[in-house]
Amino acid sequence: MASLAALLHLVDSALPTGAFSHSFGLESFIDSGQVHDEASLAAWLRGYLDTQLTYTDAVAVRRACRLAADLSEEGSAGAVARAGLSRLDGELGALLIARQIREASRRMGRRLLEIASDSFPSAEVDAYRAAVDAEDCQGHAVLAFALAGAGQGYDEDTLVEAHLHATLTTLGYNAVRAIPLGQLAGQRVLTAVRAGLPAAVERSRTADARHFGAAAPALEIHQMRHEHQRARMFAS
Amino acid sequence: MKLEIPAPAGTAADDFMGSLTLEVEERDGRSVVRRQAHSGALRALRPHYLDASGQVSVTAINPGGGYLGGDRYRLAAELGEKASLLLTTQSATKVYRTPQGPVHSAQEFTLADGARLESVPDGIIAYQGATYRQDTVVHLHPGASLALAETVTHGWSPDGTPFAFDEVSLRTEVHVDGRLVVLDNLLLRPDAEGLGALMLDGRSHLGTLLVVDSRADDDAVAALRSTLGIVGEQPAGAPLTGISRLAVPGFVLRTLADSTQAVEAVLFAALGWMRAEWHGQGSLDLRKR
Repeated sequence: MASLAALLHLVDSALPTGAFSHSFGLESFIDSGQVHDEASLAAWLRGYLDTQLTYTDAVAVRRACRLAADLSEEGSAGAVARAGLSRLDGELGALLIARQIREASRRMGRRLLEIASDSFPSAEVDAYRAAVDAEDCQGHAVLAFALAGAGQGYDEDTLVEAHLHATLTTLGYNAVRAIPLGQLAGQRVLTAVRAGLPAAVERSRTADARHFGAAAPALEIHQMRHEHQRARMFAS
Repeated sequence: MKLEIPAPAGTAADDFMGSLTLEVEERDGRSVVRRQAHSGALRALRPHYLDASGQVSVTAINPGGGYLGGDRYRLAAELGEKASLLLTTQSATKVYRTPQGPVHSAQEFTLADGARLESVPDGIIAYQGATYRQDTVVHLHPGASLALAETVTHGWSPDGTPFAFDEVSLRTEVHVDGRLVVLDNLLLRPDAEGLGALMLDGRSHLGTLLVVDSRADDDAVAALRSTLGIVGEQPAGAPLTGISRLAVPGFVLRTLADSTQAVEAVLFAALGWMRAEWHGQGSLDLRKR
């Protein structure tokens, strides 16, 4: 039986993965004035959920979960799963086009693997860490999260929802500091965004395989432009 | 006894509404089309030379004009060592209503050491009820140079609704030495993800330029940003443009604007910069306008 406390620990926004120092492009929208209050922040988070979070993150969590059980197998099933993880990790690195997003994913991923080795030990975490050490994988945050969660016995849908929730919550708190916004307004935004999670979980389950990593062009341009934004609080 | 070996799905020439295959090689500083094969509704104008660089230019044409549902097209080019190809089209790719299924276009490019492909097609215009899917797969030698441009917009619809098409999906894979290094996946679905601030920023035209080239380092990206004037405050109505370095030498440029001319101005400025800095060529003039 998977422990609820382990999941709450894994999605804790205070988990030191460095997520608090990333805005994933949101800071560029704050800088241009497009995100400036409660309503515009809620709309942005909803847009982020409907695009990159669903087609890249949620689909990656699902694909990692489906490989998780076989990763430590000795036989051919294990080899197939490890090759699949290596391919998934490589695809993820290849489709994160904006540099800061790609680098954030790797930095947070390697950090989460380190944390997971101590705090959420499992064969799944060991397998991914070994592949990263062998430079067979790059070590992406979303895959480290999925494998750490799968290693604790959580199912795919739970981990997709948990990842989406954790990412949006951290981003919401970051935005409250950056805009800035009142604490209660921030909570109202998170509540509104939470209502969209079930639909996103469902959409990621039925997503066409060819749409894995589908980019939202304006979001990506803002993520790229963040590299040369003048005053920055965040690393992405 | 003759063995009947079924062709894998989607590989037989008959499966395609139109297919064009090119083989380009370099001979004494000049690139030539060594072999060219076409079938159905896709062909090429006679190869020509736009400047004295030796780069050969091939214009693909679809004599039928529009692309209809269920149609499948294939365009393949193989570039030998040091061969240089400029690939363009004669007119926009117009995709009409596709109730019979998506229009599917496959592109396959293979570049040997020192080869260079500059692909600058006219835009894709998707009309009401259209679904267009394009898959581009590129295999590069580490010493090859790739520049792929694309422009996408929506066509006129009877009731004046913008973005009445169903889906435009452009998926591009670049492999260097057999390793996947870029997977650029553009998906526009006006009804599903909408046209919000994260998708098209209220603009009508999307342009993208994917470059993989050993010269495309951080300094090149900085120089391009400066050439295009995209750093800092932008004038009202200016295209929204971003450039970012890839994990391998190379970059992706994306731009959103309100007209084909505005998107092409950005793409052609970037192409022109590379032509001048890396190839000693003048700006691209396709003499179509």
